[in-house]
Amino acid sequence: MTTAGVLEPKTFRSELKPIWCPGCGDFGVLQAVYRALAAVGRPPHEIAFVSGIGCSSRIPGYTTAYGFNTVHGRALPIAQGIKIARPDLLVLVAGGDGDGFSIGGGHVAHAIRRNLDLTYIVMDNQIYGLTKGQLSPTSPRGVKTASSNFGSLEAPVNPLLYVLAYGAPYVAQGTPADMAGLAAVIEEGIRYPGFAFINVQSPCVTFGRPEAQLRMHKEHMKGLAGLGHDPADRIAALTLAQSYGHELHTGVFYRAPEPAPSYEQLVRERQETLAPGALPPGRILELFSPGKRGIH
Amino acid sequence: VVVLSDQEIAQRKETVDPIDTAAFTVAERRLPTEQELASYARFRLTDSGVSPLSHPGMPGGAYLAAGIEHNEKGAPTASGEVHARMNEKRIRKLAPLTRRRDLFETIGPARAPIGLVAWGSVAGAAREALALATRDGLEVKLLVPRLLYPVAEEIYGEFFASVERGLVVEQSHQGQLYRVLHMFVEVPKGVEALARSGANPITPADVLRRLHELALGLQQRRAGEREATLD
Repeated sequence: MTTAGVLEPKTFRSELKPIWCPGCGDFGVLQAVYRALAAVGRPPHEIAFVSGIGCSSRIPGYTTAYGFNTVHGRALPIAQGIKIARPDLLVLVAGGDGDGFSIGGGHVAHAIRRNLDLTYIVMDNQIYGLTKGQLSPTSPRGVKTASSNFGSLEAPVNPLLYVLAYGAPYVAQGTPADMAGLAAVIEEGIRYPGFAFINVQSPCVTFGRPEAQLRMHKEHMKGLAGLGHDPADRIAALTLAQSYGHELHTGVFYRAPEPAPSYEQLVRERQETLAPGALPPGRILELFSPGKRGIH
Repeated sequence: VVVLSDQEIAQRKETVDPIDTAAFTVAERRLPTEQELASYARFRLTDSGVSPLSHPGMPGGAYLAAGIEHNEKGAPTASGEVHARMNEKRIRKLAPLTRRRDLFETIGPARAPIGLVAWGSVAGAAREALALATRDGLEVKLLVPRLLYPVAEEIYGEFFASVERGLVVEQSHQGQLYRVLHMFVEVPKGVEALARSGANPITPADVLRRLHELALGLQQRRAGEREATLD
């Protein structure tokens, strides 16, 4: 790992020009990511940025880093593989609410319980924007979309409650309406030694609801720090998370005060423990020879 | 590379000699030089179709890997021209495989008029059938490909040159290799598919029976041709 010294946010701006709709919340997330990465100070070539599929999953292409725009819902498994193989890298994961909590929903729980040192940013716009506005897992009940002319009959997933319930050690929420706050929670998530989840309320200007746009965020968002919330209090975080969809709380919901060892740390420790008695690769088949080692 | 395996092989037990893994050759990907990293293009168009691959941690080597079409630097593109150049490159990269004769095994007389093509576990049944047919006095040869795609047109062409009757033997309901061969190779009209869904393996006896039928048909056709010549 190298320390690049002071970096500017523009260091992370790639040659690609974003093709998001004008006014899309993801522009703000991108700027916040640039700021956070500059503050952390790791050079672009030591960063892996992994995403799934969707509007928001284009973000690695707009960032100077080793980017991997993977397949729908599978950003987390691929990011976990990268982190285990290369724990020296800073690994960011990003995607939308559909990628994370619908098609990839099953992966979130397992990434959390493994506790790899990843930072997972979900750009939650409560809609499938890239495919022209269908219901997503976080669309509110009753909302009318291209695929629900009479209103959704389903209750939305609550991403904050979901990840807290599975034991995520760092959980925060932000909005591009508060750029400084968003960049701060992303930076803190990157620095946190374990799985960090950041839910970003990132409005879809084309298919999103009028009440979910940045102007409304500015009027209604409530900073958790200002409310006197203690981020070390998991029960209080769970209580606050229940207001998802009704209120917009920004800041850190939960930060485990005593970070548990990460999965990659445990893997390394196990490798070191077993290394003295390990067979060289050329003799690995002896493990399977009756009466020698392994199988008896 | 996609490795196709047989369930029949995967689920059986067999005593084999120890494999000397130390003798394996590890084929490393071509890494970029410092000069190439100075203006790095992960998917640079090259004559061989192979572009140097940077690893995370190499300064200047950052790129975007994506499933959609991209330009030489990895940026997504909808350009038809770039798409065509990239596809040409991908095909160019595969071309040397079709000249890999070590991936094909040929057994039996080179000029045999009856030919068998079989791959995977079914090749074992075809080998046994070939031995039995030879014992019975039939002139048969067998081609066992370990490479299914890209199709090695030249190698199949040489094999089929002497073939008048034959079988493509495969454990596949639709006879996929038989169909794929027809897309790329002039398969003689007398070559048929011996294809069957899984669970009931193709046996040497199945193949041998069909070989005798083919030999008989060939014999009758030749007799007919002789009679027509005498008339």
